Amino acid sequence: MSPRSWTDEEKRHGDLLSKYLYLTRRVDMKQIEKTIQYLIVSGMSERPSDPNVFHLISFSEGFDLSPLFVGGKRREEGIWFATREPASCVVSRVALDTAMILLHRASTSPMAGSGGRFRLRIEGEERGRMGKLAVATDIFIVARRCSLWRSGATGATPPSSARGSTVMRSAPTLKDIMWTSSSDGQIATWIKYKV
Amino acid sequence: MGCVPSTAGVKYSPGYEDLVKLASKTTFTVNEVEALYELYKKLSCSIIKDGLIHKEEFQFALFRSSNKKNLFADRVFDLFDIKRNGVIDFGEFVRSLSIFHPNAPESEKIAFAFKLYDLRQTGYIERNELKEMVVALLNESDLYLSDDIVETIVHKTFTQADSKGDGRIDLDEWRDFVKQNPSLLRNMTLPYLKDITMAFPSFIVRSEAEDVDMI
Repeated sequence: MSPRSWTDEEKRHGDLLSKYLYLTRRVDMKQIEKTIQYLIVSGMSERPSDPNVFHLISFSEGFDLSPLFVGGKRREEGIWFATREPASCVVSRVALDTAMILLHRASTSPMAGSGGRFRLRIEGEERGRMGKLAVATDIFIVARRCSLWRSGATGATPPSSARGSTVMRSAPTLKDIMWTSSSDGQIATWIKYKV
Repeated sequence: MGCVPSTAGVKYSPGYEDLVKLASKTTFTVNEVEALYELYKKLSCSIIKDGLIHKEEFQFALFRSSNKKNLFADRVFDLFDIKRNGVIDFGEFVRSLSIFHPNAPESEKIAFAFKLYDLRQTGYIERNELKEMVVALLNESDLYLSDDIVETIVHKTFTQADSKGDGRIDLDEWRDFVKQNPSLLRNMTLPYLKDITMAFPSFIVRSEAEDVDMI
């Protein structure tokens, strides 16, 4: 994949996605907007600096020795892509795509329960230098009692509930946003994320 | 273990080294070294059943494929193989992993990373080595950037790191560079090592299942 801008079709897809999420009212769009702004601002709190290729190299899967310890399953799967879009566009797109995926998962999961109206809220959380960001999602499922747990890289934590409604957390992560400028002044953005 | 001979009830693989001695020389406790020995036995017998970790077994453990080519995994293997005899024995395994422990001294991590990136072991990181590593990373991630862009970013990093301006990065320059950019050492720490004895229950279950007595 070469660094390029999004095509018109891809842009229309993004608009459509956004409209769909808004109209179904199953997603707290206000919160998503807040999150996107927060992610962008916190990411940019690190001055967009020259990319350090050693940092880039450190992401090689050849250095990830975790499969030695966790039975062959790689700890991190990520997707890299390069684009000419500014980071703000990519962040909002990833946030929307994530919302869509989780919405689908939640609606098809056995926990959805009867008449499962639920709302999706995405919270942003800043971690580390170079704009490391995490998008954690809460899915509030108003349904029968079910066990809830938060899954993260370090394993499951004990169940919790919030104000009488059940909470399921999954944690897709927007791992790294790095900014750089190419020789012709365009912004190329590398992003690694997983859902 | 299938390939480890039984001697008076105690099983030693050919690459074995005294656990207590190893523990004292590294950041691991004796229990942790014991746990690492269990891991080592399994890794060292996965393809070539001689109790030593060969390159294919290392690759298999990391990538579930014994012939996946990865520049950085190759470098890691070469550095683990301290004696440079083409295999990793238990002592080398523990000593090298020790550097990745969260509590290992930073100076060890800095030195190890430097040797990793010094692809041709000249004692310096040359510009073409840096570019080679960037290209390898891009290929691995199926990411394409034009040569212009690659040259630009390699140039930027290289000139930042090469403070003496002699066209290559030496260990001192690397040390200073890392001090300014601590996140460069992120790949030199494995959080799993902090609690090895608890870290791989699935592995322990499997090794019990595979355990076959050789009489």
